[in-house]
Amino acid sequence: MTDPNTQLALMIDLERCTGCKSCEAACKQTNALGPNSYRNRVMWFDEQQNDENQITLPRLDFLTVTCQQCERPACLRACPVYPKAISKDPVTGVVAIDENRCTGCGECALSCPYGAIGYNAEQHHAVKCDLCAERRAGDLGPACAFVCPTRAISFGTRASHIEAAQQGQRQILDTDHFLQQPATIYLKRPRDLERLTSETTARSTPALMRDHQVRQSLETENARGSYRRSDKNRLLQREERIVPGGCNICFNGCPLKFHLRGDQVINVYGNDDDPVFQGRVCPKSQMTLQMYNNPHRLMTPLKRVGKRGSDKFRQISWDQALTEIALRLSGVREQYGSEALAIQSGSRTGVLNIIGALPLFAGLWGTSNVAATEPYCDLGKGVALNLTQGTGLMANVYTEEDIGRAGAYVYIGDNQAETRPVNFGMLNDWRLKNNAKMIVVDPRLTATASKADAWLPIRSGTDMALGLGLIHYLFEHDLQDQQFCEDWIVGWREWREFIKDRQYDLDWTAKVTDLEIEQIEMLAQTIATADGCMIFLSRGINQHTNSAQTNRVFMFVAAMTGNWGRHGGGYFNVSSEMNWNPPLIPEERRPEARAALGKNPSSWMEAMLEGTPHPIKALITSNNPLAQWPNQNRARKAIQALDLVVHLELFKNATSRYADYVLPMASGIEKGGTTRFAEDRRIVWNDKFIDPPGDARSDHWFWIELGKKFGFDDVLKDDYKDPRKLWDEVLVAATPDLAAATTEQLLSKPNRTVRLPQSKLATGEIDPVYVTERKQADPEADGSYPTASGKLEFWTPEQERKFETMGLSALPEFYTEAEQLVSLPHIKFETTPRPSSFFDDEVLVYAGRIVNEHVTRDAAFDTELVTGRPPAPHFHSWTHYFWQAQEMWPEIYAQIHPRKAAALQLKDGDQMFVETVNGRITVRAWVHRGIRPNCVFIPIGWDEQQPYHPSSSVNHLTGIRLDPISQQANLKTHLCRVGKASH
Amino acid sequence: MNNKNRPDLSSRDIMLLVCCVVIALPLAALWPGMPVPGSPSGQLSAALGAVLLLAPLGFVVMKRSGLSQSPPRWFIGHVLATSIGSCLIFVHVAAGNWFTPPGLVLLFLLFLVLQGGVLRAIFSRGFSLLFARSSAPLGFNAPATLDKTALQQIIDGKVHLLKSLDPGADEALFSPALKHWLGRPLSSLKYQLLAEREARMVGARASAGTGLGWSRRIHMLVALGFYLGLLAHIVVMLFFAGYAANGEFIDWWYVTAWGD
Repeated sequence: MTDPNTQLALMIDLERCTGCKSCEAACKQTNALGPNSYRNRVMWFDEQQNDENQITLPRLDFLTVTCQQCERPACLRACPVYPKAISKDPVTGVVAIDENRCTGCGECALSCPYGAIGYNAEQHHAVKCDLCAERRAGDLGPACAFVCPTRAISFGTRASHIEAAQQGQRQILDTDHFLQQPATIYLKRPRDLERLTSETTARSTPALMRDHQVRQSLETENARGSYRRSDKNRLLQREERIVPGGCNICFNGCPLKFHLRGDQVINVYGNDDDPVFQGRVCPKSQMTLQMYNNPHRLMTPLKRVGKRGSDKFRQISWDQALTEIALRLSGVREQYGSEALAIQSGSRTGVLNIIGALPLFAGLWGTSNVAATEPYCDLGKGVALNLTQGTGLMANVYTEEDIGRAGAYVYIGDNQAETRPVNFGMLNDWRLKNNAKMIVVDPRLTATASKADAWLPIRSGTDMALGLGLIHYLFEHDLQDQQFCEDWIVGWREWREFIKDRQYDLDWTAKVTDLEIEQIEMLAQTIATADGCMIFLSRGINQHTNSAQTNRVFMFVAAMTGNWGRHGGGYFNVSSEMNWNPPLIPEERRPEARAALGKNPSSWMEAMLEGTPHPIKALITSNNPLAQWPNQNRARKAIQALDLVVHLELFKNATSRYADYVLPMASGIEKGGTTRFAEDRRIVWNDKFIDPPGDARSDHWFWIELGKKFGFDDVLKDDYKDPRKLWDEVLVAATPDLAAATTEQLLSKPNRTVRLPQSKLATGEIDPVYVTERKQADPEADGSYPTASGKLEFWTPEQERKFETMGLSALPEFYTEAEQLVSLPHIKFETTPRPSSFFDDEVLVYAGRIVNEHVTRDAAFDTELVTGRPPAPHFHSWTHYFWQAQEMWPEIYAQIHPRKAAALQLKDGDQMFVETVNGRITVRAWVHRGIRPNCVFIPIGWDEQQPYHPSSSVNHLTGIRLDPISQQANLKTHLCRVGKASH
Repeated sequence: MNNKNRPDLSSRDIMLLVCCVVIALPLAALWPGMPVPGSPSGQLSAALGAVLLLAPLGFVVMKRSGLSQSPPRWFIGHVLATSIGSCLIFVHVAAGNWFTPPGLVLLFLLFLVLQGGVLRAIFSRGFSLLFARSSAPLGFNAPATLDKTALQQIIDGKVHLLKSLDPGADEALFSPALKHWLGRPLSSLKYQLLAEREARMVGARASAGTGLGWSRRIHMLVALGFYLGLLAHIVVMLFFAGYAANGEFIDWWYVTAWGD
C-alpha cells in the first residue's frame, strides 16, 4: 500500500472545472500525442438532457477523466508482457507505461474500468497518464495542473489533497466502485451532494461530440512537431530556451512562455512569472503551437486567376503583388477618390498595426474608411464609457484585493468561463473561498451559468429592460447609494424621474424580459446588498442596436449602488479601451478626406454596391469579413462589386476566395508587437523571435512596403519594420498614457507585461481609476473622472443634444430589436445618413427614432436565434486550422431545447436547417435543456473554406441593423425557423 | 515514458505485408511449374516456412518470459517471419490439394495473417477510440448491478492462491507469467480464472464491444489451432505417410509409413 504522504495524485474539482479543455491541450503538447491519443480527456459528466419530466434543473457538468493511479491497477495486471510494460512506483504510486516494452496489444485499455487508457494507433502502443514523469523529473508538476485556468486540477500528495478537501469541507466523490483503490480525487459540487450519490446514468454527451465519423479528416492529418515523438526527439540535442511573451489569439493577452529548441517552438505554456495569471492559460494559447508549423499556412503571395469565388490563384512574388496592388489602388484613387479604399483589420493584425502602421498608411493615403473589429465586439461599450466617465478604461483588475473581494458577481450576456477561462477561473476560486454569490443572465445555460447560484434565462435583446427594471426597483425601495449618487453622478435625478414616469417596474420588466418577478427582485437585492458587486457585461449586451444605451443603463445600476471606482465592485465589459492617439502625421502630408461611411464595415456595403454616399471600390482586409460581417449574401455581393480586394491572412479562408490578391502574413512571435489590451488594462510584449513560414511577412512590413510605392516612406519609415521601433517611435510617441510603457520597460519584466495607463516611469504600475475610493479615503485627494464635470455623467444638456441629433434621448427609453416574438419598441431608421454626434471625426451614420409599432412578420419565423462565441478552444476563424481545436469541437451546431426538438422530430446530432429572412444554413442539432425553450443558439467562427469541418457562417442568417449611437451591429437577436434537414 | 528507441511497423507497412501475402497465394497457385508439396523443393520451402512460423511462438515466449529487452522488436519479428513463412508455405501447397485436412491449417494461417494485420493496422484505432470517443466517463457512477462483496471475495481468493503461487508477489500488481504457468500450471489456471471473473464483473472488456474486446484472444486461439494443426500435419507426414498417401505413391521424405 502506497503511503498517502508520498503517493502523488491529482485532485479534480467538479465545482471549478468549466470544460475548457486546456488540460487536454497541455497534455498533448507535453507528451507528444496526436489526434485520437489521449492521456486525459474532458467529458460531459451529467447534463441530464434526458430528464423528460424536467424534475431537475438543467445543468452542464464536466469531468476531467485521466488515469486514477490505482492501488490495484487493472491495466497493470492485464499487461501480458513480463516484466510488465506497466509499472507502479512503490513510493509515489504512479502507474506508468514503458512504451519501449509495450507491444500494443491493447489489453490495458480493455481492462481499465475508468476507460482512461489511451492508445497511439499510429505507433501502436498504449499511452497513459504518468503525472508527466518528464516534467516531474525537472521539478515541475503535471502540465494539466500547471495550465488549468480554473485550478480545477491540483497536484500533490494524496494526503495533502484529502487534508485540503477536509479543510474546505468538500466531499470526495466515491469512484472506487471496482475496488481498484483509485488515487485520483474528485471533489463533488457542493450543492450536489445528494444527486451525485444517486445512480444517475451519465449518458448525455452531445452526439456531435461522440461522433467519430466527423473527425475522420483528422486521421490523415499527421500531427507534427511537438505532437509527434520522433519530431520531438529529433530536437532533443538542441538546447532548450524559454522566451516570455503573450498570446495574440484573442483580446485577453495571456502572458506565455515559449519553449524553443533551435528555431522551433516546442511548447507553449502560461507564464508562471506573471503574478496575476500565474501560468494559467486557456487551450487556444497552447494550440498556437499548431499555427507555427501548420500545413495550411499561406506561404507565398497569390493572385486570382479565375472569377471571384472560384478559388483559382497562381503564386506571384511580393514585388509583383505590391507593384500591381499599388497600380490598381492608384487607378481607384484617380477615378473615385482616396476614400474609395476601405481597410479592415482585426485581432490577428495586432495593436502595432491597428494603432500604428495601418493608420499611418491610411492617414497618408487619405481614407477614413478604416475599421477594426470593435464595431462587432464592443464599440457600444466604448462609446458609453466615454460618454459616462470620459475614458474607456475600466477600474477593476483581477487581484484578490479587487475583483477577488466582491460579495457578488453578476454576469449579463457574458459567458466568461468559455471566452476568458483564466479570468473566470480566478473569479470562481474567489467566489468559492469567499462564499460570494454568482448570478448569470443569459438565454443559455452557459458554462458560466452552470457554476452560478442562479440562471436567469432572459429573452435575448431585452437586457436594457432588465436594467431599467432594476433601477426602478432600487429607487422604489431606496436601495441606491445616496451618497454616491449625490457626490458622483450627474443626471441621476433625471434618470430616476424618467424611469418612474415610464413605469419601468417589475411587472413591465418581467413581461418584456420573460423572467420571473422574483428573479428580478432577487437580482436587484443581490446587487444592492452585496459588499461590492461586480457586474460583467459582454457581447450579449454589446451586439445589439441598443448597445450603447444598455451599457449606460447597467453603468447606472453599478454607479447608483456605489459599485464604481472602488475595489471589489464595478461595471465591467470585456476589454478596456486605451485613450489611443492616432500616430503623428505632418499636417501637410495629410490629404483631404471625405467623411467616413459609418464606423462599422457593414455600412460600407451600400457604398460598395450602390456607390452612395460615395463609392468604395477597393478593400484591403485582414481576418475574415466573409464569415464575420452580417448578412453574408449581401456582403458577398458587395465584395464582388469591388475593383480590388486584397486579403492579408495566415490561412486561406472564405474571404480569400473573393480576393484578387491573397498575401501570406506573419503572426505573434513571427512578427513582434503587443497583445490586445486586456480587460484588466494589461498588454504583453512579444519580440519577433522566429521567422514566419515561406514568404510570409508582418503586417507592418506590408504597409511600409506598400507605402513606399506612394512615397510615404519619409513618415512610414523603413525602420519601423523593427517592431520595437514602431512601438516606441510611433505608438508611444503619440499616446501620453504609454509614455512609460516603452519596449525597454516591457522587456525588463519577466512577464513582458505592463498595466496601462502608465504615463510616468517613476510611478511604476498605478491604479489611476479608483477615483471614488481614493476620495472616500481622503476627501482632499486629487481625483476626478475625465468628464467635463469631473463626475460620472448620465444626463447633461450636452449629452441630450448629442442623442437628439441621432433621434434619441440621453434618458434611457427602452427599445430592442425589431425581430422579436412579441411586439416591443424598436428603432426605425432614417433613409439618408447624417454626421454622427458621437465621434470626434466626421462619420456618416443612419439616425433613428424609437417606435412601438406592430411589426408584421412571417409567422413561420417562430424561433429566437441567438449567436455567440463557440466553446473555449475556438476563436473566430483561425483555430479552425488547428487540428486539435477541431478534435475538441468539430462541427458547427445549434443548441435546441428538447421540447422544441421533439416537436420537430429532431434527435440529438441530426442535421437541421435554420432559416431567417437573410439566409439559410444547415447545422448539427445539440439537444440541450439549458436554453430558452423557443430559442436556438449557433456559434460563430465556421466558414465554408476551412479544411476540416467547413460550414456556412452563422452570419448568413444575420441582418444589418446598427446602433444609431455606437454603430454596433446587432448580431445577437433574430427570428428564424428551424427543422430537420432533408438530407 | 519516452519511446525514443521503440521499433514499430507502421500500419501502412503492415497492410502492405498483408496484401503481399494475400496476393502470394493465388500467384503461387497459378504460377506454372510450381513444385508438388512432396518434392524436395516443396518440402524445403515447407520446412523453412514452418521454422519461420515458429517466430510467433518465440514472440509469445520472449514477451512473457522476461528474456527480451524489447518485446516490440519480437512483435515486428513475428509479423515479418509470418509473412515470409506464409509465402514459403504457399510455395509448398501451390500444387497440392487444398481440400484436404492440411487445408484447414492453411485456412488458419490465412486467417491469422489477415486478422492480425487488420487488427493491428485498422482495428487498433478502436483502442484509441475507447478513450477518445467514449460518450460518457466510465466508472464514475456506481454501476447498479455490481456486487462489491462478491468482488472482494474474488480478490480475497486471489490473495489466498497467491500465497502458494508466488508468495512474494502483491495481488494488486500480479498476473501469472510464463514461469508461473510452467512451474504451477494448476494454481496459475485457478488464479487466471479468478482474474477473468473479476474482469467480467468490472465489465470493461464488455464495454469495448465484442469485436475489439475479443479479437486478440481469437487471434491467439486460432494460432493455437494453427500450431496444433501444423504439428499434426508434420507428425502425419513423417510417421503416418502411408495414411497420408492414401494408397498413392509417397513422394516425400518420411520416417515411417504407418497407416498404409
